[in-house]
Amino acid sequence: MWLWFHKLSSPPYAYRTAGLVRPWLFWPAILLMIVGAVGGLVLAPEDYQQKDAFRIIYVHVPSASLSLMIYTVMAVAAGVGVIWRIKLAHAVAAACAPIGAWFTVATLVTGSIYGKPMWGTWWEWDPRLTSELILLFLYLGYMALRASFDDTQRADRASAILAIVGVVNVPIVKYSVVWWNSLHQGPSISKLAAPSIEGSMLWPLLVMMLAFILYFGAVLCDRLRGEILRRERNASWLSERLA
Amino acid sequence: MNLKDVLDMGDYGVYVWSCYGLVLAVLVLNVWLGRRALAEQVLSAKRRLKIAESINSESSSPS
Repeated sequence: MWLWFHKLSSPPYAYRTAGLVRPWLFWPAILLMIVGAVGGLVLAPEDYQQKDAFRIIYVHVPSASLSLMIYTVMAVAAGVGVIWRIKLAHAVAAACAPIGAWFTVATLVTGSIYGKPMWGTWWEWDPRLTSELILLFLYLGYMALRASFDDTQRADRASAILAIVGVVNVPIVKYSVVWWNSLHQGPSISKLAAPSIEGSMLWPLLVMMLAFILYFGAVLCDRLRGEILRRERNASWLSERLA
Repeated sequence: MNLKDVLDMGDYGVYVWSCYGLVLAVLVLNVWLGRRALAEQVLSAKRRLKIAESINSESSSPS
């Protein structure tokens, strides 16, 4: 196991592995997205209260959970990079940031569009909405901090500290609807013992969430390969790999 | 459920379809941005290798 981790932290091995793994993540993700979208838009019955507007959850919830998951991956990778001084871990963290930022934007905008017919407002300074907006600022801050350094190693260290400190916002986003009175509805699927969502509505959501996770893996492979090439510009293995 | 019902979404069509359109755009954009970033790095790495190769061949060839 440790040997595999050690091997994976080698840039040429990671570059090659990411290229090989990508199609195995991308195409199942597309397939599952089609299945999930048909399930959510056509097969799932309408909600008795929110009617057909509830179908927004099939893109809003996977985007939101991905925005939190990507930040966690980014912070863990940054932590691994700082503690074990693994350069590839910093590359993973750097590759995560733009993807996470886009999904946070998608979460905020789809949430806003969902809020208008349900709450009568596009935006409210509610704990869930505000903490998700802070998540976007953390992603943007992380990318701006990286861009402000010419030296990659200094950029890695400084941005890693921001990523690690900022991870405290992840449980705040997740549990904001439990800890405070929120306009946003409570968790529906995290209560594994008794999910408060009917089975015919639940399965397309789970399919979509799995599809988004696989999709993230595929896009991360491309971003990571680009990041590895940027960092390894003078490495001898490039001539063999790109020949 | 017929096609009109699917498009209308019980008068919520504008909200539902704009969300799906936006997320689809983010999904496509992320793939494109990732591929473009990788292609740019591959191109610049190949360019550097070519320059290094030409310098090496110049220095090794007898003057």
